[in-house]
Amino acid sequence: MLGKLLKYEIPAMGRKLLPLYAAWAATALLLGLTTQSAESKNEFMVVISALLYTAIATTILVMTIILIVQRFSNSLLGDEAYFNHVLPVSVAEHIGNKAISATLCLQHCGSS
Amino acid sequence: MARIEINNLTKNFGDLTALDDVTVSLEQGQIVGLLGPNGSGKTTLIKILNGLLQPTSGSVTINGSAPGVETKKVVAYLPDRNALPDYMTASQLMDIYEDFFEDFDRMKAEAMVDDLGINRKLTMKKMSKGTKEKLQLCLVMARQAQVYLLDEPIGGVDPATRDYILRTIISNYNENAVVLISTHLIADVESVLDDVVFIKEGRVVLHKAADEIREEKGESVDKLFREVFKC
Repeated sequence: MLGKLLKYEIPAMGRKLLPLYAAWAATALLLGLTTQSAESKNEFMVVISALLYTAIATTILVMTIILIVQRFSNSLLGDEAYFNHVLPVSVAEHIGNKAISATLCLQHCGSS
Repeated sequence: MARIEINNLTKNFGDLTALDDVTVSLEQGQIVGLLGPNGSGKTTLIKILNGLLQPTSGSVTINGSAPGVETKKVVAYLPDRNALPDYMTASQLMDIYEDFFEDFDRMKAEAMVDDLGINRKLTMKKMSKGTKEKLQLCLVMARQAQVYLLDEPIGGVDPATRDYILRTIISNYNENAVVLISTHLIADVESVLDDVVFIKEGRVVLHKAADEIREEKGESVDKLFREVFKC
């Protein structure tokens, strides 16, 4: 049952996080390109790209934390709780599900 | 074989007593109406049967066990609000139900969804309120459960759909199941009810067969309700 819960939880989090990771990948690429082709006139571009990269990375971290808290409060304490709590799943499995998917998201964020 | 036993059930929310020493027994093969004014404790009772709330004192058992993982496998619950994740489509919701509930009949759910004209590929977010309610009802009624707890199943839908829903409840009738319907729309639902429970301020004031009421009092259950609960 825990596996089934994770099967639905992870894509639900992925839906929100994937666009951000796509933006992060784009700025990483931009930073790489501008750094490689850096001459004195392009230093400005490098600085801009670096700032953008840092901004996106920070956003991803903050959004991941917000999303983890939101997923927990909406699906187990909000209206969706009326659906989740009548599934034939124990409370321990629900909490395990949230903990595992939260850990996976944070780990992914950290390793990026 | 389904059986719901509620013994001396009391539920307090701080100072507010929602249920006061309720004792009711519901047998299999019955369609029971849980009728009462707003704030009388109907939804609280249903939530306790589901395991969404814990009693303050007293006990409830479904097939002899307290509400838990085992009872949730055989209880189908229709909440009085939209509880499904709104980024999912009807097809995806049917996938979830199929995954978690062994007694879910996918073909039946698809037939019902098509009958009611619900687009399977549309996300819940884009559906109207009535359509969301219809979808929730289809998913719940497509389960071959032993206990159905329906909280205001026909409240937010048009009259034609109400008829369809009531027909579905009857045609789903399984002599091994108990159906508990909590509603205000008594005139509509009366014709399908076997038993009637009137609940007022957390106390059961009447528990009789609908036919008995009509014979003894010579009036419809709806009329009796209006008398008993006159403001």
